[in-house]
Amino acid sequence: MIQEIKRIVENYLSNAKLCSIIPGTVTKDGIRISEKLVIPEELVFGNMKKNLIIGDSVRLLRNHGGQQYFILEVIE
Amino acid sequence: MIEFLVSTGGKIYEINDLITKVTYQDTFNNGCSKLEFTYISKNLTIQNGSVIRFKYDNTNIFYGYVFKISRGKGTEINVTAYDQLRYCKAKDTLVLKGDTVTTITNKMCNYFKLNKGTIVDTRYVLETSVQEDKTWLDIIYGSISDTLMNQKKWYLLRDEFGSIALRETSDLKLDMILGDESYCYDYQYDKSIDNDFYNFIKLAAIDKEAKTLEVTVAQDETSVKNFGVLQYYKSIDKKYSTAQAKSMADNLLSLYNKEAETISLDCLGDTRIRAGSSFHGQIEDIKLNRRLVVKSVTHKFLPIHTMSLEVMT
Repeated sequence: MIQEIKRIVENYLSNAKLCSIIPGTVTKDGIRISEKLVIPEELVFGNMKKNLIIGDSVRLLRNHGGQQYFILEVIE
Repeated sequence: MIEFLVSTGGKIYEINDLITKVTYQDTFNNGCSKLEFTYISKNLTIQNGSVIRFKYDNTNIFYGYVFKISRGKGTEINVTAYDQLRYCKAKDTLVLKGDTVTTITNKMCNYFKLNKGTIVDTRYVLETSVQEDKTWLDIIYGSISDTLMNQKKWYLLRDEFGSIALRETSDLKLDMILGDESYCYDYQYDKSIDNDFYNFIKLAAIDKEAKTLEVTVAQDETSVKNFGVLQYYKSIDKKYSTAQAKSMADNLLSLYNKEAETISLDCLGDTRIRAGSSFHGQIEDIKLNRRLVVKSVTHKFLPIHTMSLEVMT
């Protein structure tokens, strides 16, 4: 029973997409955060967006729901 | 009457006479449909993954794959089979860009190598979004509700006898009456103010700098008289003007000031009824006389065909 509840809550949380900080690399169509996923430019926000150069490593803040990504910093 | 075929180990068996019980369940945009049946084993062993085809009165009912077998000491074996949509419960990561429900459905069918049937063009282009670590079904259902909110058109994803279909619900109207005098032998009707019912809406905008509190109220006096005060309270951003807050409150009131109805019907079976079909419901006692859409249905086939259905109100 407890295992079931844990599984359900885990699934729910992963589905709800909580805020989180994610590292990524700038590519020509957006920011790559995993092998499968490149965040499209339209969903990336922040005033550092215009200064990004392809190949930069960045740290992103994902909003609740996972439909906006804010650039926190470029990692040295 | 029934035609039941099983394909297992490279051979096809007709087992009409061995079947003792068949139940078919279908729900509206909520996963795959399910066929449960019981058969007498004799020498035939049905394996997981076997293909099942079931027809009743020459109407196509179910085409799908066995996912579960359970038995006890006797010779009766219970089997559960699902249609192709079962495979779409898998999680994946997608970026939607310039996609419609139609293009996502096509991608899904190609990815899982599913058979395609009628897939209508939904036309509405969804907003760019990242769908990370979600099931294909959830992604499609989410997109269907976005389409509904923007286009007022409601789509349904289902498997039709072995081919994936995407249809508009308004195309699934049946010329059929279910009710008192027609097919229906029992019904259950609930009317409730227990959940999500509010007739008194209170919105509070707190301005921390000016230290003021502006409260906007909307209420339905007749409803308050009948049911007592059922209050909904929410704090809102101070940026809303008084007029905006008032219209928000009015909207909430019209949304929540409705008694929730649930209707389920027990009827003689009709193979045309699936989740998403709509029919004309007519029950004298509860003054029901309008078109209803099936939310879920369970058909039981042997010895006689009956169905219980739940409708959307």
